Amino acid sequence: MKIVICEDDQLQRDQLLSEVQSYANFHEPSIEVVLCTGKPEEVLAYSQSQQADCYLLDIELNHQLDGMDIAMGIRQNDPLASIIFITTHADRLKLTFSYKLAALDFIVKDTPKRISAQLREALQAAFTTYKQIGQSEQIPMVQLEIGERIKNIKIQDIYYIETSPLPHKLTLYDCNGFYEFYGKLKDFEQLDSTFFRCHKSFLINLLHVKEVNKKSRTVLMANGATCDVSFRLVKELQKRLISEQEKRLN
Amino acid sequence: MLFILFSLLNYFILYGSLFYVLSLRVTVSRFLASFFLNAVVASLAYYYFSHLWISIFSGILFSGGLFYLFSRRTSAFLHSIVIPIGSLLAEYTSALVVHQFELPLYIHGCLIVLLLAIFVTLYKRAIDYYEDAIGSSTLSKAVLLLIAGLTFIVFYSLVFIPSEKGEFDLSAFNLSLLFFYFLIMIALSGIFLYTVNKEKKLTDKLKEQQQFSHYVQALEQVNREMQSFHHDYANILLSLQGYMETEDWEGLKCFFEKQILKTEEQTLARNRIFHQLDRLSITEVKGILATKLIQADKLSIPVNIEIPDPIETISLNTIDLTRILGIFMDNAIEESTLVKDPQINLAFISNENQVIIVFENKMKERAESVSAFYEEHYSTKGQNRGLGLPIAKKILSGYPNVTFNSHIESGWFIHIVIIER
Repeated sequence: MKIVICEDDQLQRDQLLSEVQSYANFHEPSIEVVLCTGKPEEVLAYSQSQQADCYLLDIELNHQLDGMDIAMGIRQNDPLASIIFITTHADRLKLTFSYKLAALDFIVKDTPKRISAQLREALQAAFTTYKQIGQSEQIPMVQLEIGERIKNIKIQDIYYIETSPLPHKLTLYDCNGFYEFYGKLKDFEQLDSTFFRCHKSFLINLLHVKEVNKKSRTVLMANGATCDVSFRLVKELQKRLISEQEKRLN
Repeated sequence: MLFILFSLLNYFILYGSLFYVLSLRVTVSRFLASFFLNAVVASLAYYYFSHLWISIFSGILFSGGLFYLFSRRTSAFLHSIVIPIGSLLAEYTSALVVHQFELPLYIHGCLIVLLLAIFVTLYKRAIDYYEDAIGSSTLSKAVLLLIAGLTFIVFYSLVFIPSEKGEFDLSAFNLSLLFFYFLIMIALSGIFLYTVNKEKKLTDKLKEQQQFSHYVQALEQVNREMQSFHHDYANILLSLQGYMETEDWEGLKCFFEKQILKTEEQTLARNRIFHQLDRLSITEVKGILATKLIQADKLSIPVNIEIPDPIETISLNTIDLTRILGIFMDNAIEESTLVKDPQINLAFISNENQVIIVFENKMKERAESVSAFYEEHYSTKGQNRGLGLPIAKKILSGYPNVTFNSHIESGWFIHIVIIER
């Protein structure tokens, strides 16, 4: 994993460098620092010509270009790189970092001890995403774009997807909440064998069905919500549920 | 046979228009219910043939009630009076035309349907245009209902009573009288709705002004704090000098940390947040945020606002926007009083083609899932609380250019509204 460090203060830069190197020596020997500089232009130039996997940026660089601009530049050149910000006021810009710049993490400037602890955590996270990018995707996910941030939802965690009264809008429900996005329900039918289109406007995950009410033709989902089942599909739904149960038992 | 056919036609005209005007989806159960109702009304008309008014008035009342049940909108009653008025006019006009030119029966039917279709389309347009004005006050509903009811009674006495007695004559004079009366009533309703609309705009403006004054008040408060900071400044410098002269470094350190940093940090933080708000050029939003910020400040709940780029416009109705922000803020503040280390973060992030509003607050651990918060009548404390979130969801679901996410992530309750430009 290639790392670029950008920090204008010589002392802090050296500290960062040695922290990263010691982390590399002890934990992940594949980590190497390819550029360590105080000049933001060099970082931008580097990201244009070559690729790095992780950028450590000090956002209050005393320079015409500020950390925000650099991060935007890096994102354009290299959408997959992990960006970690180091700043005194990182917590004040937390949401901007994650939704505008899709930053992986930020480190609040504090006592050297706490910085190094945060740094280790951030490097660990960066290494994990680096490995994930390398591997072909094994766990099926649905990706939602929220600004620059990409939210991954495991397909098995989806409870159900519902159409909205307005065209092209869908709502996905999982155990943590709900997410609206633009799309067609039809495109999700083949997502996984456990999904069943039980109604014109509902695609349910059979794994999260709590009970079927034949009288009112609804299913109760694990989050307490009810989905409609169309008249013709009640029997098929029950059949599918039973076969799904058998599959799980075997 | 003709009677059944006639009542069927009547059914399609009347109930079809009602479905259309109320923008209701025709489902099997709704169709059957209205069909059954129509059958009841038709049989009433059959049995009390000499007292036609019984079936007419009960028909209006029943259909109004039924469609009120379907749509939960009181305007259903209004529609179920206005549409018969329209059909009366259409029938009368076409009867006159057919009579004058001695046209065949099927043209008569087509003419009725055509005229009524025009009438209903125009009527729906007018209703949609004045939807806010009609929906907002019960007074306007009552007045409109009164006007429509009176018109119907006049029409009834002009058309049906003579026809029952066999004295009815189909004349251009009668028709023009009806039209004249009808137009006056339309004009009256129009003027009335215009005033109501204007009044509503005025109150909206007033609300905006109020919010702006809240914002100004908040700014003034910050300004006062800054002034007192400046005032203390000299004293602080003097004390610092005192410590330095006696070379009491420990005392200086202690004084600096305890007196200066602690007391001024809060002022500076608040100042910074108001500075962030400067980048939002939507006064009403500033106003509501300022009001809620002060409210949160009083409860010492830290709030952080991030607005990295200037935002001129948000493609969302301002009233709706302030409403949902108010709801999120109230909910976050309410929840924050229950947690140990509260924090509310808010961000307005703009990209080339969208504005993203992110809202997050620390939340208490609960067994309920997020969807529980979005059920109407759900509340963690007593009744009629926590009603906000379903309202916010409902408001946002009306916009085709808006998507709304709400979820829990490691102890944070996060709402994200994405507004495409």
